[in-house]
Formats: sequence, C-alpha cells, structure tokens
Amino acid sequence: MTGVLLVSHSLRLAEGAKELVDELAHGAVPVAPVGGEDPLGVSAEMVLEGARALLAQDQVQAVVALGDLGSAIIALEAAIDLGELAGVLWIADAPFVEGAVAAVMAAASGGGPQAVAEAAEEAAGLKKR
Amino acid sequence: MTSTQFRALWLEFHERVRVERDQLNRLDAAIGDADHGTNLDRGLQKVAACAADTTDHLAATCRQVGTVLLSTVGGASGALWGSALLRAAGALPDSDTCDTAAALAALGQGVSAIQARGHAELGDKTMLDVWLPSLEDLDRRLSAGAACGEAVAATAGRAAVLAQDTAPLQARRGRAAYLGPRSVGHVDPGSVSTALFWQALATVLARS
Ligand SMILES: [Mg+2]
Repeated sequence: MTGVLLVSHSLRLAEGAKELVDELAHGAVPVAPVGGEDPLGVSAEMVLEGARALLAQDQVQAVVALGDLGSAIIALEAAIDLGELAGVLWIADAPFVEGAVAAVMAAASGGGPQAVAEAAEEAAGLKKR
Repeated sequence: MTSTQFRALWLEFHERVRVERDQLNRLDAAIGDADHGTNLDRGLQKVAACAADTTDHLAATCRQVGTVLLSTVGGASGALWGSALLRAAGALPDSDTCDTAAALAALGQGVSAIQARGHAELGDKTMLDVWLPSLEDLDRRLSAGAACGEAVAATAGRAAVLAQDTAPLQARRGRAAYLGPRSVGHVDPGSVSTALFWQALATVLARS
C-alpha cells in the first residue's frame, strides 16, 4: 500500500488534513502528519522521521508526500538527498487539502506511488464551483 | 583552507547572524514570516556547537554542518544551506587542508545545489542574487592574481552591496513571491545572511 505524508509548516494544519482524509477513507490508508509547532516551519529531518514512521508499517511499500508551501517541497527534496528515501518517497506538487483527499482515495483503491502522486497533482485543476 | 579555519568560519558566521538576528527578522517580516534571523541563528548555534566539538577532516566536518542545517526547523533556508553543504563536502578532501582551487570548487558545488534545490535564477530576489555574482567576482579577482585573503575580503564587500541591490527586484521564488509587486522595495533577508557568510569567511582568512 502507498502511505501519504502530509508536510506543513504547522503541525496542527497537517494533523487537521489527516483528520479530514482519515474520515473520508475510513482510516484505510496510513497517513502521517509532520510539521512545526513552536517554532512553525519544516525541515528535512522531520520529513525523514515521518517517512520512516510510515515505512515502518508492514503494509507500506512507498510514500507519497504533499507539502503546504514551496519550502515544504524544498525540505522534501533535501530529505531525499540524504539517501535512504530515494525510490520510496514520491513528491506530489499538489494543493494541500484537495491533493491529500485525492491521494488518499487513490491509495485506498490500491494505487501505487505514481498513480497516487498523479491523482494528487490532478486535484490542482478541480474547481469548487 | 584548513579544517581549523573551516570550523572557525561557522563560529564566526553564527556570531554575525546572532548579532544581526533581529534585523534579519525585520527584513523577513516585510516580505515573509519574520523568522529568518531566528531560524538561522538557531541552526547555526547547533552548527557552532558541533564545529567546536569535532576534530574531523574537512569533508566530514562539512557533511556534519550540512546534516545539522537540514534539521533546522523553519522555511527553505535550512534545507538550502544543508543541501549546499552536503554537495560542497564532495569537493573537499578527506584531510585537514585544501588548496584554493578545492575551496573554490566546494563553493561552486554548494551554489549549484542551492540553484538546483530552489529552482531560482538570477534576479528572482533570492540568496542566489548574492551567491552567483559573488562567486564570479571572486573568480575574477583570483584570476587577476589577487592573494586569496585580499580577494575574499573584496568579494565580501561586494556581497554586502549585492544584498542591498535585491531591494528593487520583484520576488519570483519563496514566500515573498506571493506578494508579487508588493515585494519590490524590500531587501531579501536570505541575501543579507549570505553576505554575512562572505564577511565571516573574509574575517577567518584575515586572521591567519
Ligand atoms: Mg521566513
């Protein structure tokens, strides 16, 4: 199964997004929220820890990550540079909430990391009205 | 450069950032989230502690500094500096001293990593607006036969001017880009801290 890593400058924002997608997917998809709280912010280190926690779960083979702002994506890329996440962590350049919903839905239907990342990125085109 | 100078560089850089922390926060408040000074100070404090502790050779120390900066919680700067140092370490030898060519290669590699990681270009109102022309400036001075310490001191002066020159630019990368034209008229805080790095480097080279 593909796990989903939610990376936000605010841990509470990431936890809130997890709360929302967990309800929609009935908790069927492993989702990990990471982010800052006092101080707010992101780091490659917290990405590494979040991804490790997901990958430590038996059923998780790969992780798709979403970031809230550009520096979250930079932290994700820097975390991949550290080596151990290469090939197992995929980055989706997607809107944080809509992308998380789309990613979790795709993962719940058995999507691999490429399909899950694509579903998240395609959420950028969804209109709300 | 020796490993002793390299460690001193990070203590000196931290000291300069610590002194300028509030000013860096104020610059970031105008076009970002007011934490650039605090974040960099916190990250460099850990770097300085680790640099004071280690007796490792150049490449290993550079890698350690990069790894510490990757754990700095904040905006993009921790990851950008961290990526730069990890890449720069690859150009440094597993020994306690390196020649000017190796030091220049390490600087060049670090700046390429910042460029690759941040997807920014010259004129985007980021630290690259100091890094790229400063490296060219240093190259030119060294090619013209200037002594290393003299050349770095002159480049550090140039870097301070380049940082101020980011004011008229409109941000196209980073948090400030969300402000669009309202980012014009403010100096980029990441450019100012980059200029502080050059000054720290000049100070450490002048000591020996
Ligand atoms: Mg900031």
